[in-house]
Amino acid sequence: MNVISIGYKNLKASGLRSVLTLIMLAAGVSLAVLLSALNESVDQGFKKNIKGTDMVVGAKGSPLQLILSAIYQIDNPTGNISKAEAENLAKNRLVDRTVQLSFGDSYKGRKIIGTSPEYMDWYDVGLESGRVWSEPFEAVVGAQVAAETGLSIGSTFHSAHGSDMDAEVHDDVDFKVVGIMEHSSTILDRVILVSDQSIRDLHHSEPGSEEEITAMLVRFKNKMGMLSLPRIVNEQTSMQAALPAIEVNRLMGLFSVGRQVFEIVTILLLALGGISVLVSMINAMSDRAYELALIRAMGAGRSKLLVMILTEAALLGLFGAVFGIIFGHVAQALLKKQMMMKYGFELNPLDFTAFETALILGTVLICVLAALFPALSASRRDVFKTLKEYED
Amino acid sequence: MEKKGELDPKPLVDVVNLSHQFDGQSPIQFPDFQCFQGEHMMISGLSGSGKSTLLYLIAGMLKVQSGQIKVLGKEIQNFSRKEMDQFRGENVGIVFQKARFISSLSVLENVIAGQYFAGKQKDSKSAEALLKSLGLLQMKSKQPRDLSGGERQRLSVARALASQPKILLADEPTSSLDDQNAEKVYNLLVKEANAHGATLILVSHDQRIRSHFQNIVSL
Repeated sequence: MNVISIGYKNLKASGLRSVLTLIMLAAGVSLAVLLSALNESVDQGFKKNIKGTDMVVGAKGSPLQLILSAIYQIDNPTGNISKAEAENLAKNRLVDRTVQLSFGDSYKGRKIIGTSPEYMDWYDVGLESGRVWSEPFEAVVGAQVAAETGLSIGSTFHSAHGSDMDAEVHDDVDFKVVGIMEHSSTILDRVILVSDQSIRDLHHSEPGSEEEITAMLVRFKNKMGMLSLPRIVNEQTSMQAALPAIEVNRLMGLFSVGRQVFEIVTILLLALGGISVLVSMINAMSDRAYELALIRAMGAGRSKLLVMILTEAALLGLFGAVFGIIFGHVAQALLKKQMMMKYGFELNPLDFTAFETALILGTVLICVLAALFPALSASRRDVFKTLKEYED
Repeated sequence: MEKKGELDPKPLVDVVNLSHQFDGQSPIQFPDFQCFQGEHMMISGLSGSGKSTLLYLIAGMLKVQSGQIKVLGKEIQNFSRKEMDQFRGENVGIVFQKARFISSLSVLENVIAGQYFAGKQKDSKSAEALLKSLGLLQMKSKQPRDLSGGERQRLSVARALASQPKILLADEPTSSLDDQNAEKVYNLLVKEANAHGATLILVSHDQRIRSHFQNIVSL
């Protein structure tokens, strides 16, 4: 028997009141856990796919739209650019590598990208099986696409114009799957890669007309490129240059209002949890006034009583936080599939973070602080008066 | 008042010139008296005469305002609150008027709590032995609220004795009982106090048990 076991037994004995307080605390903590995991997942998702892309060039329009469409494949392209003009830029001495992308078609909602096998090297993604495309209308599918659509080596499919599920289908040509990429948690998991020739053939480009692509990813040789190339492209060509690092930061800035709302809700819930602890402890102290006086009568000093009551509150906080963290991770497990399918963002429900340790300590601290006032007043209550009050 | 100090020449409790006044009430003047080890004593008086006040003063749960109380040779009016809590835990066990317990703890745990909060070594063997001597051992895992009235009374005696006090204070333990049970509880207190080397100081207005005591302080 010690203050911890007595605190635990008191919590157990107080039943519904403790349960309600626990639910409040757990709700706040689980929301905080989920929020931080989603933030982390979105940040990671965006950063991972930027990887190695210093600049994107495409048709003039919204730079954010260009980044979202060319890197993340979550928006429509801004238009097409001249392949020759793009290749001219690629020759600039400040440019290290480039990869050309032609898109605008899809299969069952999965984007089909006409590109070269360098696009796979760009993200260090290899093949799980099969080989890369070499002939027109050969396709390599992302790991997630293969898993979700059932496409496997040797399967054939029709592409559709646009990215909608019910878009117009090019049913005159069959694509044939020749390879499947390994899982990489990058955008490549969710796309189908073909040669850019296939895309041109698909749209029956007239022979001799100027060849076009949708966008080009650019990697600079050094920081100098960052300073001069975007301006050169924007001022001297018909193309647009967008810097993913800047656009993603801008996008995160747009999200920040939503994030703040969630943060405020989380803080409010935790504050409510604290208030609930306060109320619950005030009630408990008045219900147990006689018991507490009895404990004093047995020889326990005020400080022991104080420690006992605060330990009880700390335990409440600890259980609330632990339950909250468990719920938070269960919620992540439930959202995992959808986050991956819809946005390509990865959630790791089995990863526990330092933030969660801080959250446990913070919750325990909130509870102890909330219980401080009732605990102090209970431990200072006049023993004689209390005992007599309950005996008469 | 008869004195027999053969066991220990120093009195266990020595009250001199003690008075107490609650806010807005007239002061209570207590008679001087001494209580020696092994010499069970009754403090009797009508309700409102200050019997309980005297008991709580001896237990150090009320601050001495004027006069002197020596317990085991120590002038407890000079103790700090902390020293008093410690001293009470060490030397005094109390049986309250109503047998009430820490409701979240079992019967046995309540007896162990008597040791723990008194600052004594927790010893479940001696706690069980105490329950056994009071016929409560088979109830040890039950909650106090599941006990009968008589069992609860015995449990409160067990708890008071758990810390092996030298003084066992009892506040009106028999008043609400019928003749037969009042006698039983009196016998229990005396028997257990003797068995555990404690001296009983019983506060009561109950005339039925008065005849058992030779040593009576009347307020």
